[in-house]
Amino acid sequence: MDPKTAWEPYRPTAQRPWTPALAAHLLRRATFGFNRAQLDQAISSGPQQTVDRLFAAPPSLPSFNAQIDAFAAPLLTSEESGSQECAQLWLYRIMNTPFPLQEKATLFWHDYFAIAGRSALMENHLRLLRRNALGRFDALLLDLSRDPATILGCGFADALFGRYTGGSATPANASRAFTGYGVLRNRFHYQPEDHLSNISGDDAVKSALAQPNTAPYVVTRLYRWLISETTPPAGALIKPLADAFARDFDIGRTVATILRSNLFFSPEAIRQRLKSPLEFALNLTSAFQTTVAPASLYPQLANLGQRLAAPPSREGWAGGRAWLNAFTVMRRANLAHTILAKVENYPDRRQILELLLQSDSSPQSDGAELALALAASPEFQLA
Amino acid sequence: MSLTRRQFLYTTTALSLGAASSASDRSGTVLVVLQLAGGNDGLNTVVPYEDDHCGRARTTLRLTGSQVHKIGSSLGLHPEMNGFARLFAEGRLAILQGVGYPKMLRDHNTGMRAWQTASLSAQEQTGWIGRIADRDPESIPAAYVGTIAPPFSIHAREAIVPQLHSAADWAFAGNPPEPSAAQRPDALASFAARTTADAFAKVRNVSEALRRPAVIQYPQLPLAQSLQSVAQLIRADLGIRIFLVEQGGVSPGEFDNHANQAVNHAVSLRELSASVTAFCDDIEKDRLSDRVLLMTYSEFGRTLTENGRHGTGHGAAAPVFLAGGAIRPGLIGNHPSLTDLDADAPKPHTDFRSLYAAVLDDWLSIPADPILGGHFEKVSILGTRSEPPRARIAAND
Repeated sequence: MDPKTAWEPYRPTAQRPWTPALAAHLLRRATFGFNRAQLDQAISSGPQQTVDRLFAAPPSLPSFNAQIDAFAAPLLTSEESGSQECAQLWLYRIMNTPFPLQEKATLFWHDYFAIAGRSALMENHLRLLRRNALGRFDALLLDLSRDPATILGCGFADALFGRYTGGSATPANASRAFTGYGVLRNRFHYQPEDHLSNISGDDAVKSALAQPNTAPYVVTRLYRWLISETTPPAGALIKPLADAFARDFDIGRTVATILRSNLFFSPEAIRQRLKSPLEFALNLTSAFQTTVAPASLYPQLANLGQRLAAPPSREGWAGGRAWLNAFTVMRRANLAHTILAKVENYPDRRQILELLLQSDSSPQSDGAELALALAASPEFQLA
Repeated sequence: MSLTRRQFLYTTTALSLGAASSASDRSGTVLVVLQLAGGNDGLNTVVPYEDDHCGRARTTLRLTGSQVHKIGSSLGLHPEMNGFARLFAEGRLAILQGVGYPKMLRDHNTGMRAWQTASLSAQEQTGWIGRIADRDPESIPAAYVGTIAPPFSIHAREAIVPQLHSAADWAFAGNPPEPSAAQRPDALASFAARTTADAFAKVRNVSEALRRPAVIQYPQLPLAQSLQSVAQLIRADLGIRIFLVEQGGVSPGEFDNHANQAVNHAVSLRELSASVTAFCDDIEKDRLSDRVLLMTYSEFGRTLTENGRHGTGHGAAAPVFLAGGAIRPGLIGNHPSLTDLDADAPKPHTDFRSLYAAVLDDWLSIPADPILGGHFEKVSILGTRSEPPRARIAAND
């Protein structure tokens, strides 16, 4: 697609009409799942208004956050050596948030920075990611440079000039820019006399941001998250977004541009990702308005390769085809079976099809059988 | 239509299976890795019963020549290891002595990490079996069978290694119909369809394997149950090359006998011996013996001297057991010296990565160097039936 028209907002036409399939595509990518009412609302609002709504922090968000923060209070002093407590609270938040795009972006950054650690530190780390998830990338990096989980979880200077910005070499004066940065009683602590560089940590962050590859690298990662895991984008396609991103590092605007674009609603993007185990599970719970306990979901996701708050390596999750093998396909179907077992009333067959696949499928006899059949179908693995 | 390898296994004769496992074709070989958690006392497992140093250093733990199963070279297997004694006599068990690595770590976590990552660097982020899985994340070359959290060995960057409680776990809950395997117009959808078809096929294979009547009665012990599942999954012929199982894995592990070792260790070794023997007999009855090799290890051996609580401390070198139809049977390497000790523990003379290199290169035909991150001289562990003799690391006496 021509880089210019690719990123222009999609306006439905007679040739490219707004369909339930496109509405569902948008909701699959920007949220963890949707029910009938949410799909209907998207269908009737059209693409641009639906994106507006996805970005609008709802009025209930502060009280929701206050409630979760109260749950989280004991985590901040937790003695747990792992991160299970923190991950399960996060699952609860993801399943109940009134602002799903923010949680999805938080998960994207968790994958991107791939920090693991103790619950007590990870809870604050995830709050940091959430606070900046749709904000500014420069602010995000500055916050991370003072984040205890990040300081203890990775060599920040090398990560900053390496995998966090797509660079390859840490400048000599930058490698010591974070000396004196430490953690005391789970909090950031700066010891000025231990600082051994002529530049500050903040200067090093600015210098990493100014590298020419930083903006294209971040935008390419956003592309893989939101558009396609199958085909890496051409440099020319990334350039307009990267140029704009390099000016102000505005994540939210970049994500919005992508979600509104012609390219996003094109075959280049549709079903060109695999659902993560979490998306797989929550697409089902959302569609049938049922729930699954975080304590039960957490180990099942781990078994499928997605242990939240504990990425498998410093590169995060491989994603894409690595999610699926003959074993995980079977285990995903079993997770679907567990979730569907709690559904009391199924909508009619046409409704089930439209909620899960928005396409034709072989006939099955009743709702429960059809739902499980669809969940075990190859097409449902795609996001 | 040609037979699948699984059908081949069901219908073939011992003669043709022998041919299938010749040195030139190792595509179907299977390695079973058995982790003994806690630090097994090698000195009371493969007992130098005539060595005065051992006898003097141990009072309640001392085992005499009349108690052990003698296996030559003044060594004997622990009295509870009846099965291993029989396997040894039948040429189906090898004991690789004095295994470890330089400057062995003596705490459970870092010691076990070394064996699990095949690296002495605490920075290593993946397990050695995980790195094998990462060679092709869409395939399933390895699986863990057990009811407790799996060892780090299967930790991969990209691949998702199956973790199962039992073979019966490899099944669909509910009864989803098999989707059409027809080619999809799109590459990613085709991949999902292919993988889904493979998932249904593998579930059918397991289900068929589970329906076959048991040829061996396995003891009602956790390790035996896990190994029975492994045997069933091997028969299902899923293409899995490495199975990982564990005995006594709840930290610090049941082999960690700092006190009252005699009784506890006997119970553990009985479970080990009876379970592995049942597995080997099962595999042998199925004429799969030449395709399957089982290997044990523990994070370290124990100290020579019995402590005041009738136990032992964390040590260093320990023996590794190898079982199966293709191994070079008997004792491999010398028993470590009991006079030249490192902080009261026998010193290793054979690096465990030399063992890993052998099972990877010679047994699984998986190039060892990239997995081990370096070159390690291989120990000769395979029998003459299937492998020309190699230089031995140390002569048997």
